[in-house]
Amino acid sequence: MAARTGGGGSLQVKVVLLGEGCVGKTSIVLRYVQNQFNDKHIQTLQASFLQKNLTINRRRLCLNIWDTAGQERYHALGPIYYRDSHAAIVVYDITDEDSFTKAKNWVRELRKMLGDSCVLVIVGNKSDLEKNKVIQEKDAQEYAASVGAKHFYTSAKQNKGIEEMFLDLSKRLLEKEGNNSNPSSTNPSSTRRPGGITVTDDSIRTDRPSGGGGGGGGGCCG
Amino acid sequence: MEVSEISFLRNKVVEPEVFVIEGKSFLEKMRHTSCFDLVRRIKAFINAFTEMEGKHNPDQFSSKLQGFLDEINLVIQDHSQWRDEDEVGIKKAMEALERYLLTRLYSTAFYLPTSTDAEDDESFYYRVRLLQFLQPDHLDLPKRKYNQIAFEMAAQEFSRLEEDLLKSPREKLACIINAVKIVINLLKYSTSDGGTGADDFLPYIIYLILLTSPKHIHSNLRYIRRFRRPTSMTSEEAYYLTQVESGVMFISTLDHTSLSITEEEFKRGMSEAEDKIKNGRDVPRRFSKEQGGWERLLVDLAATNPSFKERDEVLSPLQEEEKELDESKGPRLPTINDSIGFPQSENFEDEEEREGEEEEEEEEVKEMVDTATSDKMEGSSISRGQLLMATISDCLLPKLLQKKFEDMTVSELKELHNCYKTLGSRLEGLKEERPS
Repeated sequence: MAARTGGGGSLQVKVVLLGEGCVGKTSIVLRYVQNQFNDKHIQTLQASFLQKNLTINRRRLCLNIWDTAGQERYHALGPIYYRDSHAAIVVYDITDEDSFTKAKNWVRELRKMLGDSCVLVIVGNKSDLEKNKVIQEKDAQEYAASVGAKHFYTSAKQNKGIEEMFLDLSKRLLEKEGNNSNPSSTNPSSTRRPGGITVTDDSIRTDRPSGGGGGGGGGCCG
Repeated sequence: MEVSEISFLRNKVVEPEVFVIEGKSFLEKMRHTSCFDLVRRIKAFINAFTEMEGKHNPDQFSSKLQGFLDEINLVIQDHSQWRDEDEVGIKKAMEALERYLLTRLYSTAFYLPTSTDAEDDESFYYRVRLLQFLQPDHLDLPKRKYNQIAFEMAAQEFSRLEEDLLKSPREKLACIINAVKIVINLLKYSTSDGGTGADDFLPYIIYLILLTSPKHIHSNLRYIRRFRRPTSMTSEEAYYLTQVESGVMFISTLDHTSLSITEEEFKRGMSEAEDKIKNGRDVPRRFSKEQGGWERLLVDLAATNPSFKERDEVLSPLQEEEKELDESKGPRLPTINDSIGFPQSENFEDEEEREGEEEEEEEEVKEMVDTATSDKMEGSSISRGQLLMATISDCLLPKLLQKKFEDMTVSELKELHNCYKTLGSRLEGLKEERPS
């Protein structure tokens, strides 16, 4: 499915988030969207659906991040969520071999259903627990390459690798969509990031009122 | 639970009734002579769509409607009546058109005879009744995050999906989103350990579906997928719709291995329910709109209060009225509303050669506009549910939830009595406003 351009020329993309129960996929997204890590006593959020607006090289992008339930009992429901995804982030825990096996299952299913149309990222989370690592980097990298995915290490706890991972994902999405979206005007508060790319973190809205389609397209991600 | 907490639970809940009001300006614009051709096309489409009945598969119905909406979207963008409208204005017009069309085409589009909707609904409803023995624990719902009142409130919103009064896909979707929002609000309110991801969230949705025990879940979900314009759905709405779809799928396929329950316990629960159903002793749905907890709370209380003796007299006509509306197929009969100007026949000069038809058409255009504007604007502009809800959250709940009657002080009872009086007078007022 081609990403559509929403209100204000922002490219709407659907990113599905997969991974076993305790690998920390929700923490990664919360860290990215809200810069929060749930160590303790942080304001609670509904984090199963989150949005992030970005401007990369004057092109606006809205990531609609769909979390999925990772418990084994819900595994068969996955395909309902993959439908029409533009990108998928498959997360495993570097200290848990089983979670890596499960990640491979998801990747296989995704490729089967969506072919190569989906931008794929494999994420080894909990990189702060390096000493307990059981999945070797070489294996993970090789596996990712073999399925046409990129591999990243992240630590939601230390906020490491997350920005980079999402940035790379977004850039690949924009490349894929070619010139479908309208470039927006330069935002003066843009910051330069490594790689010469201008990235602006647009309004952060996770709590957009939208009940029942009542929103009249007022939000950036309308 | 305090009043503030109750209103917190209803945060971001949008009553589907607002869509009627939103669509008014579209229908008013359609009255202009420049829209005559547009109205003609819409009517021709309605006829063509109705004639497809029984002959085409669901995908064909869906693409027929979506294709027409896309077509009209282009027409409207260049039309003089919408020239000054921005993107949002066009979007609203398209929403109004979608709502109008599907309200009109409901009897054809809902429950397509060429689909398996009816069978699937029936088998799901049977299954959900078999599974009524399941408790929050079986789905690993943490007790401290479970709240009966919140769930009943959510179930009430969810079950509105099945009201025939709400006919358009957008309204039906709104019922689902509203129910989900209440669950989200509950989780926000009761979680103190960080964000709630889908791992935590999906089991609540599954439990909500079990609690609501919908009779027509497949037909409703598919109706939304087939006829809601995909570009009108936000990603967030699509996400919650998907959550509900996956919850339905989970319930349809689950066995003891997908729950925290022993095989024996699961089998026993299922066979007991099966026996009950076989012997004609229906397994009660734990929540039902008709006599469900949320409204029942109020009715039970009212029954104990002498000042509310006449409640049946007040409530019954409202219930009857709702029933009538539920039973009526297609949009309600038009209400003649002369206060809104309608083009006179001389405005349709180009139609001279078809005079007879023209008059008929004009009537139909008028009917189209009137039907759509009057639909629900009057009879149920405040539904009984809304009224009760408002009253409960205004004044009754803190008492309901914190104390039993026996434990209340005199002043608390007095206050509660005043609440009843308020409710009584609101119902009376409502009764007087209506033609009998």
